[in-house]
Amino acid sequence: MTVEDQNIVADFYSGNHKTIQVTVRDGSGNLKDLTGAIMTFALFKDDPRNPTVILRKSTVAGGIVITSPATGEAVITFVPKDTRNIYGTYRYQINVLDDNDVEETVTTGFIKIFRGFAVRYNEDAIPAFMSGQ
Amino acid sequence: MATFTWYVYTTTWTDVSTNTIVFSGDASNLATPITVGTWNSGTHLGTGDPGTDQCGATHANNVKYINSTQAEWDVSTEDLTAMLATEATLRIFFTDASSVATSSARFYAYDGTTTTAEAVGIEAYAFEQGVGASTWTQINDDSGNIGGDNTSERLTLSDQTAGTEHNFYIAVSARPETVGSKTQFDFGIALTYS
Repeated sequence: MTVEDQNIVADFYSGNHKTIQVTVRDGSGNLKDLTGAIMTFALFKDDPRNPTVILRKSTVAGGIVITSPATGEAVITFVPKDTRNIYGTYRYQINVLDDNDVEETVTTGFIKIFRGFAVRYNEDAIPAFMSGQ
Repeated sequence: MATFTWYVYTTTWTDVSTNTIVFSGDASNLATPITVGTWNSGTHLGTGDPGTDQCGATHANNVKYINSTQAEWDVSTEDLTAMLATEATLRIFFTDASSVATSSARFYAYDGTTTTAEAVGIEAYAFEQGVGASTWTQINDDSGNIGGDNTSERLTLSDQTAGTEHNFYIAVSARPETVGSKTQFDFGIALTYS
């Protein structure tokens, strides 16, 4: 069952660590058993004519861990480099290929990534010398 | 944790560590003064002001200001655009455990106490190698009240994309404006990263 419009519109800043918890249900609304399943996530531009994929994650390539297969729970993890250079509103899809090779887009929605302005600062110095004559 | 490490090039990149960058009037003697108004003929690592030479058998690269677009290194005058990384005066290595991008980086000379105050008694130019620059930037002129970490009085370094390691290759040339030891003279770098 595809659950649409699971929008994430707050608390997501570019360049941050971020986790998104996902709970997948089957067509009857029951928790879906994710044992042996492959989950993928894609973040893409909200432009029908140019749906460029910005970021992909999966249980195979990394970035997604099925934390409780029997209860359909997974966690998608974002590290700073994933979103360092992007901000704005994007669409996302999460896909599941289950143990019976049944593939389904289980949820979609918008993610709003806020631009991060608070950057870290660092400085250093070394001594120099000369003598004039 | 983010850290800076400063290097000079002898036969390999050598950590400046606790030493001092010494500009002198001789390629092999760090104690030779520079005639007022003329540019450095030697660059060395000294243990103090100037202390003893820590360069080893091969002295640090020396880059000498010739004009706004040229310098002398390897005993010949060349356009700054021809400079290789290993011909720069300094390599400043910035690293962080996580992958970070750098921005608003700048290199400056100052008096060793207040980062916005110019170094005392010297004039200096700097150049960032490898970023398409072609001219020197004046970073200190004590007589003109230029120097320190101030806009238009420092070398703006190029932004670098995300990575755990960042290198800034910088050539520096300096000359005394007056007779005597110039001890109120440090180099600084500052940047933001995310």
